[in-house]
Amino acid sequence: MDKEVMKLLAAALAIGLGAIGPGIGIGLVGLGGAQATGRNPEASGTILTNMILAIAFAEAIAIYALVVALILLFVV
Amino acid sequence: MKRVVTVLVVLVLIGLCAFSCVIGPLGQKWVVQPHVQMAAETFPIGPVRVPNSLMGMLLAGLVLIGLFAAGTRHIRAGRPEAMVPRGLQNLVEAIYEFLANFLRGILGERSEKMLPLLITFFLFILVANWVKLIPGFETIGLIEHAHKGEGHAVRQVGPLLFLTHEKGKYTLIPILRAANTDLNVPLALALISVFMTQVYGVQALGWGYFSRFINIKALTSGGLMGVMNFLVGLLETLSEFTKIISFGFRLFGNIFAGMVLLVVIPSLVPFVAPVAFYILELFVGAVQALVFMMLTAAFTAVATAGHGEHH
Repeated sequence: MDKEVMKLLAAALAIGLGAIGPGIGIGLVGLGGAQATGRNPEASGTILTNMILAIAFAEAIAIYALVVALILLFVV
Repeated sequence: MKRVVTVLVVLVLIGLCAFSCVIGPLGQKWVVQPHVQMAAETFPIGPVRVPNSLMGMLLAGLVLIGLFAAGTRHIRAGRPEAMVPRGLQNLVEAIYEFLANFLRGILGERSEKMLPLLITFFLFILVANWVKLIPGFETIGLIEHAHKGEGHAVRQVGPLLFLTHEKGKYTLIPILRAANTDLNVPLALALISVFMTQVYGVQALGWGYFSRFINIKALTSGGLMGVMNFLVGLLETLSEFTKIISFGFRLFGNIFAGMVLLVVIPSLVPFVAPVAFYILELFVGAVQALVFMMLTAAFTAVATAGHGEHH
């Protein structure tokens, strides 16, 4: 295969596959947050804070995939 | 009556969507195809070439400074009217109070010194993300010769030049571009954030703060667990650097993807659909600003809470 084509394919696969895990993770965090808020509505402020923190950590994995994809596209 | 109106509105929207789904692919013949570039374009001012993301950043800064200068003018002048806030001052005070209370909840008593930086992070990123939704960003600019052979032809209408779909040798250099779609800006913010976390840590714990990273005391005193603690410290050091990357690329990735989305969607479905994505972008911009501020606050809270405190 052409090098250009491989580059595009690799970048697409990197971000596409790399987004699966964080997607599931963020979904689970959202589920937990919604359930916690439903059980204890007064604590929604703290729950929101912790939820966004956890989402950010899950999202960081997707960001590494994004970095790899961008490097593949524009640097390699 | 109300229901009839609702049904009519929905029908018209569906019709417009269907119409634009048909027209969109046809229109691609006449519309300039989206061109996405990761590095900021530069345009000349006098002898130097200025990146257009700098212009977007300055615009965001001006909006923010203008808003808060106008909102706090009575306070700064020490006028008695400041005691009973009216109009803009109300808005500015409400924004500040909301954010300050939110942050006090995370940081506790030590928050006062960190509030200015954290609130500036939030407001700057928020405004920088929202000003890019003004029509004219990334579409109005200077026409220049394209570097490679991928340019467009131009057509003159009155005093204005437009790019056309035909191949040619010209390209558009937008004057304004969202600050956070240039990797340099989010990375600079990330560097400031991580650096200031260290500063607050040293302020709160003295130079002993750095034993978090290189824990010689644990290595010399505590056998196997001491070695483990030392290695954990090395991991902490590594995680400070990953923080810079994940802060920077989180903001950049989200806002850049938003920009690409807002270019691609109108070229596929020109009517109605872009509105939904504009609303999505408003939301994403606010969430990213909030996340940046909150993560900085949370990391600062971790850094200022001493190692010994929870034993």
